[in-house]
Amino acid sequence: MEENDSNRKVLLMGKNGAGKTSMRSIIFANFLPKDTMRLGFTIAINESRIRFLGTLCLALWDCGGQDHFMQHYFESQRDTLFRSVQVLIYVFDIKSDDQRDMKYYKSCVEAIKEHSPTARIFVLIHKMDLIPLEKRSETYSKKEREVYQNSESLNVVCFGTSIWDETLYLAWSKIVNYMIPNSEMLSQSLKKFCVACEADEVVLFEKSTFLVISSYSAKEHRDTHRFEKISNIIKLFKLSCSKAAARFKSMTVANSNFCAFIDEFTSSTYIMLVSSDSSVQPALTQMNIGIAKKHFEGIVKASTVSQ
Amino acid sequence: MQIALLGTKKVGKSSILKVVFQKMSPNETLFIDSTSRIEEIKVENNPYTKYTFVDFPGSFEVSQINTQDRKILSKCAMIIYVLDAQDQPYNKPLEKFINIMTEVHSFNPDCMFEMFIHKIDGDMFVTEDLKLEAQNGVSFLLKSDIQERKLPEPGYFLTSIYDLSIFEALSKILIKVSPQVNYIQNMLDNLMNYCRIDKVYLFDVINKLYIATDSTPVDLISYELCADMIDVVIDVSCIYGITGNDNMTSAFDKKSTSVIKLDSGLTLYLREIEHMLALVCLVKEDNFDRQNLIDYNIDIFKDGVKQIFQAHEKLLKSEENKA
Repeated sequence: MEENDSNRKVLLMGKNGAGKTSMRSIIFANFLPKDTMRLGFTIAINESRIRFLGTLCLALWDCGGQDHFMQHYFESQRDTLFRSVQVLIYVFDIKSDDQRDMKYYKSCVEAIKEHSPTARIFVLIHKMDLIPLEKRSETYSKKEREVYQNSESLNVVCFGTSIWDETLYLAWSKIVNYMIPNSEMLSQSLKKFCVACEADEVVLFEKSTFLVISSYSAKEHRDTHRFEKISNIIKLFKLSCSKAAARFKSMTVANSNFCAFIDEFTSSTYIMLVSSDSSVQPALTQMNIGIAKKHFEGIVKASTVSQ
Repeated sequence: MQIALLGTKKVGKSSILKVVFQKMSPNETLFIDSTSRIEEIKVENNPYTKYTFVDFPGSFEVSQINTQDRKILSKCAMIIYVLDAQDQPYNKPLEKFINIMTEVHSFNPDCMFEMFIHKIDGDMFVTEDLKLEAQNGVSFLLKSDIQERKLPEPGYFLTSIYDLSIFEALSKILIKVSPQVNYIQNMLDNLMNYCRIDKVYLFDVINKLYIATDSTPVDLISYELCADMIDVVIDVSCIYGITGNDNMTSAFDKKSTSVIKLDSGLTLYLREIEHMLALVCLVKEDNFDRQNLIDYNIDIFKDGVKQIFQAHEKLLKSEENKA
């Protein structure tokens, strides 16, 4: 594996049946949540190269979680697997009581500490939809605490996820964002653009996954999960367009309180601009988006290169 | 406007009503209990359409009809008979249907009859041919009895709660029982021609049935695309278009509008017509460059629809006063 600047090695691990392949199929392979029921178990390691934001390349290693594979990972394949890793994503099935799960996690953490000490670890506490609403917060916190206890004091970030709602998009947006070397440059540019357009907020999405790359909000909003909800809504609509043998290009939604534009932006991104100011002319906003496209093409490319 | 649902046990009458009118997911319907008593579902999402669906228990036998049942059935404009397509042979349920038709036709001669050949999904009905075969089989079995007893010919629909076919069927039967919709259809045809629109639907935003459409045939793909567009508009409006603690019905307001452009050159245009009623047009991108003209014509259409329904209300009221 080349230790190239733009190649990012991402390990996706967890016991079999946790939902690793389902998740990556939804995010990267345009599966609908109900389509994932057709997936069988992953045999050994499935490596997929994913082009992200044009120049960024993610090497996603989906590691089959059956016991005999897991044994190999920590013994004979330890070196090759855990070396040069940028990100480890470990997936727990919240409904599983299997004690070996935490043991495997601990082994992963130890191996990472040894072979890729600079790697970042993300833990997805998955299938949260199977826990009744009133018990969700408590169950999640308990698992999160257990994860921290077994993380050998490494900096680990946890998310509660489900393929049936927007939580999946939040977790993967954050994971992918971590791998963009210069996302600060992007958010600064978006801020300038937002102010110039007199918009309430501007969000940048990656073209095929619709994960949130960057955003700037000039106005506070009560729903802190709105971006990932939009990712989910648009992604589902994109898939429904493909049934009609078409792809969606742009969208405007408005009522008396707001106007939202979602349009193709650079070659690898989409932009969403939301305005609640009725004095802002839609045609003008669309013109501004058109003018900004060329400018942002360079900025997006630059953000994928380390400084 | 009353519409009754009848059929043998476990055919799926209550499931249909729950999926279409109460937003139940089709998978959840496996767990609902059998209907033991007559249940009514009132649908009044917009000021123009009001109807009541009467869900009869599967155990209802027309031979044991009591006065209350008779009263309900005599007020029905239409009876939908649901047949489980996967439960062959069809002889017994079809016999039941003939008996129901005979009995109801005797005291309610204006009542229309529709048959939903339901559960037309799964391995048994993978191709269109297999589905049509079922429909032809059923109409053949009913033919002689219908002719003998001089009963009205029922309409046939192939339906399933797992796709939009049940929504399309219900939209069509509701149009059948609403004569005023013919005028709206004419207006929609005019709108189509003047604005060079390819297809237009007047949607009930809450249950995504269409109240009216133009006279070109309905294709499920365009219908599904429009229904999905409504989902997107409502979901995005619920995030950005509500102030404070308002709910979904205020997310879709008088100025709700949306334009979606597809790379195939098709544009979807949505405009609010009335409370919870949306006009969804499919236009070619080139024909959409005169949006102002389309908007002007839609405003005229909006007024026209209002007038038609108000006239219909007046007519109903005067008929009630006479009776």
